[in-house]
Amino acid sequence: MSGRSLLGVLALVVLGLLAWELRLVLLVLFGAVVLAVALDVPITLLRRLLPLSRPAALILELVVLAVVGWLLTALLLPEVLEQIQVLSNLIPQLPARLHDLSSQNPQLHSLELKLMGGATWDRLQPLGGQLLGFAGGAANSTVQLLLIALLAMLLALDPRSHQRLLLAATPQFYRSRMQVLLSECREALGGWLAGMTLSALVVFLASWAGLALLKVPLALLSALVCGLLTFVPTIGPTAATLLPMAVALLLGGPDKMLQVAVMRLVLQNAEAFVLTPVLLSRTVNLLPTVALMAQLCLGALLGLPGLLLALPLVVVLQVLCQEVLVHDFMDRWTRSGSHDQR
Amino acid sequence: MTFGQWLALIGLVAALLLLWSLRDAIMLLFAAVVLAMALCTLVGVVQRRLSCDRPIALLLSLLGFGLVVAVGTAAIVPAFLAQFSELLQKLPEAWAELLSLLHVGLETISRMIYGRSDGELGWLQNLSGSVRTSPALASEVGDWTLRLVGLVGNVGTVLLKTLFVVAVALMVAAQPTAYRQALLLLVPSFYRRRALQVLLQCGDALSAWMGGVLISSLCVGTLAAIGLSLLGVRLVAANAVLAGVLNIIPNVGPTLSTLFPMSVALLASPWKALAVLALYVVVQNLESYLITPSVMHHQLRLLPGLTLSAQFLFTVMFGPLGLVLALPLAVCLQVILREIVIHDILDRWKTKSKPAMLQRISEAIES
Repeated sequence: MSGRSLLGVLALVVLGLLAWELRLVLLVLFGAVVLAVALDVPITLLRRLLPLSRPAALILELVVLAVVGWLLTALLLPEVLEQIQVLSNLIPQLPARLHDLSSQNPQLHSLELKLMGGATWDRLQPLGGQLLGFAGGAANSTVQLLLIALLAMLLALDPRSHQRLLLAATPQFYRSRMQVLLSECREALGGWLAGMTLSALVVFLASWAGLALLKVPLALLSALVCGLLTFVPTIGPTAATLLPMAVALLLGGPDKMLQVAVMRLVLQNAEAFVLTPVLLSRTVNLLPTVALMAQLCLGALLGLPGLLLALPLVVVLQVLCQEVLVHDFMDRWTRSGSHDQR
Repeated sequence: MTFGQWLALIGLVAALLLLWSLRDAIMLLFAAVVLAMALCTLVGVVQRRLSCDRPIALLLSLLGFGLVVAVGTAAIVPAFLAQFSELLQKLPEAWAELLSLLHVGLETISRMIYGRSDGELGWLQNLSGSVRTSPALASEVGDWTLRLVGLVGNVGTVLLKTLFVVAVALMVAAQPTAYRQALLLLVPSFYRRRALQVLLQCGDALSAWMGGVLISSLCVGTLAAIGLSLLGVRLVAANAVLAGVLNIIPNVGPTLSTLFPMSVALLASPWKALAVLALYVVVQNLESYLITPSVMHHQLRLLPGLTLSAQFLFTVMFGPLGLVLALPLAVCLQVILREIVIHDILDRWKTKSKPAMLQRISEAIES
């Protein structure tokens, strides 16, 4: 083994360890890339329709986004604000309401007494510390989100040169292949994002209509949360159901809660098993277990951000696995044991 | 070694490390695959018997499976809940019974040794007395159960994991071929045909093992039911179901399944508890020396020592879930070791320079 290859191996190991140490930073970068692709899809569409330069298209898109967001906010803000006020009035009532419910049942009552006995002031003190930590975490994640947005705009402004940078960092014999890989990843991510946006929109509208029909208060806010959390499959919709259910329990009683739960269950299953597969069948072909397994593994490895970004990551990883591992290595591996990488 | 080979080696090591850190998730996946394999076997049987389409067969077998699970739960849970609270209240009584038995026995021994009853064993009697006069034991135990209930997070995690396993098993059982093909794509092209063979053999071994375990569990459950009803112990159905289910885990399971009927019988009389113990020992020996050898395919029979060491190893590696899944894991590993390591690697491993005599012989044969 020559000195050169030893050096290469050493550098590779060090780089790998460094990447592992910085995995959360890399995850933020990946989030920026996902957002950039989300910005890039309408830009490409715009430029195909109108003779615009890329910065102009980006500015136009951002302006359109801002206007739509402002309109939406102006239209919905009073209602949401009012509803948030209602909610903040309701939250202190929650323990009392639960207490009422539990006191009807003696067994539950004794359980609650035991639990309350544990919640003395001493035990609440670390809770304050936790709250402080939570506030710090929130500030931290706000900064990270801003960073992601900024990076995504920069990436969307000039994707070609970033792509060229990545191409220059690959060996010469693999560059043409790398270009194909990059464009395929972009295609897959774009397709996934477009499909999920449509699906989230449908979920948002359907939840809004359903909750409004059931006359649950805070319908709009709940529906917005439900629509946004559709981007995190399996876990997101389940978590999103909790808000309207809690509201329905507080204001309408257990019957209303049951109705809301059934409505959300039907919607969620229709979305997961009918709508999303139909929307994604042309672009991304994920086996259902792969998505679930990826969420479990990435959640274990990277925590909550990993869980949130699990699906886009798995879409990219699947393309890479299919093209590099299967197509370039395993398909060419003959019995002689010499697998050329081209 | 070239740079490319080094790259492959590093990639392999990194992948193995990643898999090791994700071993809990992989264990859950394996549990789901075992469950899916059971479902697939059932679907295959239904399909052959009724000669219907696969979706209909899947639906039918899911319905049947759900029915069996529901009936089993209905047989076990209410009876257990009722009896368990009673048992908790009676536990101090049983404890006192046990102590007094011990006490009488010790007194007899001391009388035999010293010829009188004052004896040197007074301190032991004091000790047992002090233990016996702790009336708070029942409430303590109740408190403990409440605290156990309070670990909602823990229970929630277990529930989520169960949900995950069931969901993945259903997904895999719905389209097993797609998953098989995806797995085969990850194997070098020259080995794909052989890997398909090995995979199919693993599946066959798993379903054969599950069939054998099902029969032996049924036998154990029936025998336990007959024996318990002859002895007149209460809760025959629940105990029989428990014995049958826990029979899946060798060594540990039968021991666990003995505890509950023994404690129930101890309330009635100590001799009954001993009789229950004897009954379970007899049933267990019948199972391991008569039923299992005649039911299991001979290739699936694991040596008892191997079973125990596999259980120990997988428990250390993967925790409690590893203990439950030790036997299916061992069955799969056995097939993989036999087919890939022994047949494909070790059997073909010849040294380049043959011994001189062998070479001469082979030359003579060729000429």
